[in-house]
Amino acid sequence: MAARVVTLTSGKGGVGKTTATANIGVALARRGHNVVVIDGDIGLRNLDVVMGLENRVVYNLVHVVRGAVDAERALIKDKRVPGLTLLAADQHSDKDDVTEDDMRDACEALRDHADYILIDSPAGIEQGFRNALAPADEVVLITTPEVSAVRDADRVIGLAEAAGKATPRLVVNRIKPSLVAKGDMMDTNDVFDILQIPVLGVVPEDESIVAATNRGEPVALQDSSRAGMAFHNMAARLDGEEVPFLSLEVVEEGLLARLAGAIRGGATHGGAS
Amino acid sequence: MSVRDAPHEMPTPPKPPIAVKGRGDGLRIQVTGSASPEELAESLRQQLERRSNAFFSGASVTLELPVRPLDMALAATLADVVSDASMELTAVVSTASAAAEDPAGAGTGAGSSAGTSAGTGAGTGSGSATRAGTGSRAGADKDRGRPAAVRPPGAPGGALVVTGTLRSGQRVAHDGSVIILGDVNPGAEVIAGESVVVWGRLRGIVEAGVAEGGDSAVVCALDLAPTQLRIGPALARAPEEPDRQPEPEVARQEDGRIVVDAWS
Repeated sequence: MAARVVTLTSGKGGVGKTTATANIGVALARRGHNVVVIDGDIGLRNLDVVMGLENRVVYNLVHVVRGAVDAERALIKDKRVPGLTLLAADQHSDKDDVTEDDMRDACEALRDHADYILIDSPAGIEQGFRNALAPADEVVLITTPEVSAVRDADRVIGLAEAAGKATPRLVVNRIKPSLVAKGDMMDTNDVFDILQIPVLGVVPEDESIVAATNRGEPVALQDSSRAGMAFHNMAARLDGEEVPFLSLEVVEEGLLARLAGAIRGGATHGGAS
Repeated sequence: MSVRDAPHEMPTPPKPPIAVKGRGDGLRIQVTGSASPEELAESLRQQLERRSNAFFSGASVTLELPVRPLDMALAATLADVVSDASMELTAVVSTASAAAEDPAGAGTGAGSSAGTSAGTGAGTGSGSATRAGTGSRAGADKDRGRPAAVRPPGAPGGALVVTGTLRSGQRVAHDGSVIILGDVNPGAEVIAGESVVVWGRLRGIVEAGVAEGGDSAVVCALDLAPTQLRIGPALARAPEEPDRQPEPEVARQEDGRIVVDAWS
């Protein structure tokens, strides 16, 4: 099983790379794959926190790169999801302590032990980004439906293509259908209009993510949240399945909002999800 | 010379340097010999006059030039002849192998700079397929050679053809004219000594006519919405019109101001 190395990146910070890496990793593992998730954000690591595994980190990516320990030994098994392991980042080094070749070597060492290697890229387009990009077979580009995030994502597409990577696949994160319906937020089509790359998935804004992140329990562990469903769909699409996109319906709290919706002729936004 | 029974193929000896051939979807004008632009224009004018104008009125016309790089002045001159005959020049194709198309990133002259990425295909997979005017472009794509430009005036010079969308942060700079077959996204820059033609949406920054005497340069796009547009000394920003329907437009410079017309 030679692994597919998938780098999740964005350019802009805070758009949901780490959450997506954790959740897609969980979703893929629940589909029966062996998945290694690697935190590429050396110095500001947080993938282990989001996955609730920070107490168990002993060795990290920098140890592996420096040869202090075998890659396999540094992996932390997620006990909730068989098949899912984490290679954490080091908090005390920084991104210039690792090179693109180091990353490629680390992935080579892991390639035969997994079906998927997911790399959580740091924000920005500097060395950390280049390191995360170097070993990628595929790139997943995460953006939110905001002008600045899309502008940065566009830049990243150019850089990824210049680095010889295949066209990235797009995840539009944190869509709020109610704002889209009002015209206050870009919808997926607006984002696609500029980026023009295939869409891997669309994730609705979901409050349950906040609590999940704080508790270290990725939402994809359960089947109940809408964001969780979106991540599961993305995992299926990575596996090559054709999954229809979720229709993001406007779900408004409050009777008044529901009445207003009825007057507008139905509060559903059957957007391209 | 009697022309009542003139066949589609012109049988004149000696063979004129320019030939007009009828095709199912329009006309193809082939420049085969080397003659001065004036002679070519005159020969073309005569040949078009001999045809029934009513039949060909509004027909789409493809111009084939065997030169490398494409001679913009000649294309513009012949385009005028075509439009005088109530037809429209919709594509210019170079039949020289590896004609004016530069591999993106290399320049045709000392004034080109890299910074573009390889095209993701000639934009046919992108949204440009739904825009006005691409019917003829799609036709030209099937031909030998590559579609290059339609009517930008300007001194003869190498034209840099870039295939694919220019992404934010990418920059194309060239001494002569620049043709982009794709979009220019916000955050991208095109700098040309002469004209700029964007067969797609222009939403980035464009500076045209940067070279000496480049004040007559034009900027055309299927959707002209640059964040900043400069032609020679004149500078303008596209007005904010969130619901406007994109339509092909051409911008030129007049007395230091940018003037925009529909580009038909």
